[in-house]
Amino acid sequence: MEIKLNNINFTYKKIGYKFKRIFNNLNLNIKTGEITGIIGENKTTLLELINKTLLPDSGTILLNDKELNNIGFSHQNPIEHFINTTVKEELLASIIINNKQVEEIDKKISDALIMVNLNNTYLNRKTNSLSSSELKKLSLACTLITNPKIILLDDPTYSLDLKDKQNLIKLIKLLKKRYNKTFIIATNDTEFLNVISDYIYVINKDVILEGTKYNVFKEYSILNELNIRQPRTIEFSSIVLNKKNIKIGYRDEINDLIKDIYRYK
Amino acid sequence: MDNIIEIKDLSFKYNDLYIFKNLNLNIKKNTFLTIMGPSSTGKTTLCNLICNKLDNKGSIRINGTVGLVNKKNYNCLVEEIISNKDIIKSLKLNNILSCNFEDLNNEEQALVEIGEVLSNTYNIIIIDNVLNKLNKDNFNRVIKLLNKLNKDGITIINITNNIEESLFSKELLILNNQIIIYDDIFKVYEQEKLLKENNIEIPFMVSLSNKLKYYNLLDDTVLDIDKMVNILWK
Repeated sequence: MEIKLNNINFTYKKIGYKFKRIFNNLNLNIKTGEITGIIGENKTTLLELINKTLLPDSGTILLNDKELNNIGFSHQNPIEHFINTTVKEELLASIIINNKQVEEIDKKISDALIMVNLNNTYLNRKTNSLSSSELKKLSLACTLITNPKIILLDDPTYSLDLKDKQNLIKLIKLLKKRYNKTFIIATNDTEFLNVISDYIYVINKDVILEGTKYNVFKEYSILNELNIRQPRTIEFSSIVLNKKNIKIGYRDEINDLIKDIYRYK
Repeated sequence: MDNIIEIKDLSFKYNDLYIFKNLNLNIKKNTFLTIMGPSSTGKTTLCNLICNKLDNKGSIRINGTVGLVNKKNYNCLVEEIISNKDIIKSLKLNNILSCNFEDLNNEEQALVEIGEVLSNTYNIIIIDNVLNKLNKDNFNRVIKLLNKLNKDGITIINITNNIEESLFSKELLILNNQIIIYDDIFKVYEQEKLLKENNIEIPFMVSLSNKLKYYNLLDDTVLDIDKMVNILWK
């Protein structure tokens, strides 16, 4: 099954932009049950369109019926979307706003917190006393507690440390595998997408590149032009190919890269 | 050497939760300091304390003015926030001057937040988790400006979770239970246990150099990819 975006046109009508064209006949097919990475420009706008918080000027966004009302959105700057109260009330608000019936609420709340590596000691913490990484985690918990089929993550790794990132990777992979969740992840953190994504779109006004991670990330000159940093191991191989015309492999791990350097030197 | 910031016996808590207990910390004048540490250990709280935004027990002595670059929520045009022509030019903000700040994307907002502080004269500039929102070119532009200010005597403090940003600084502070400022950053990269305990990676080029040195493929650490490729394939 797919989420289909057909011929999307969208113009941003705000002062200063003078009717800035954001999307020009954008077409995307996002497979459900997969983890899709979105890199480039206008990423948040794309997520807002899929979430139906923005409507396109023309074009259609087709989702499978059941999934239409089953989208969760974890925002880039969560504090702007919180109601500014306690952690517990924020989670309850998320359930109410999304019109969900949730049984055993206390257990669901504590499960959601544990999933994102927070816990019940946070329940009465004021959200304005949370660190930026705790806000990111709470935002994800607020999304997961409504049990959406499609999960939109905007810049999920911002302000996370190494351990937080590893936990997030584990969680996303688990939710995909066990519950067949669909993830659409907007980020320019290509290291993160390299570990996690099944398919990647590079966009600005239109789709510039799409494919599996190696097919996208090996495009050194296009990504460079767009100011997108490749995953470092792949960047290294690209520069060797570009400067020395030597084709060493595209690797994810430094140790594999070292073996290739040894072999081709 | 002179200290520009001296913190003595500082304690701070949110309700009953202590973020700092009897913290002592001196920051040298004209340093370029990177502050890292596991998430939620009080990095942002420390900047807010230095900027006198939070009540606390203890003493914080600052020898100069402080500009803080962090997430802002302006509702006005960019040209009302920044008027310094040199900064507008060097950060390439011309295209967005007549835009409303809240309509900008995250990276553009970050550039404006940086530009606003760099337009003024401060003795200390603190950047809280903003540089990691920038793309390659913008990041390099901002680092160039910061290096210039640092040469002119300004003290720079950058808070981040990205170890790659520490490569551009003179000192590294890892904020955890123990608070130590390291003045030899490359020595820190060798301390695997310390980094692991604090959820910090080794910078990619340092890690790659170390492994290549181990296999006798390289003599010295090289931070620039092009340079390393030229050394490996002469």
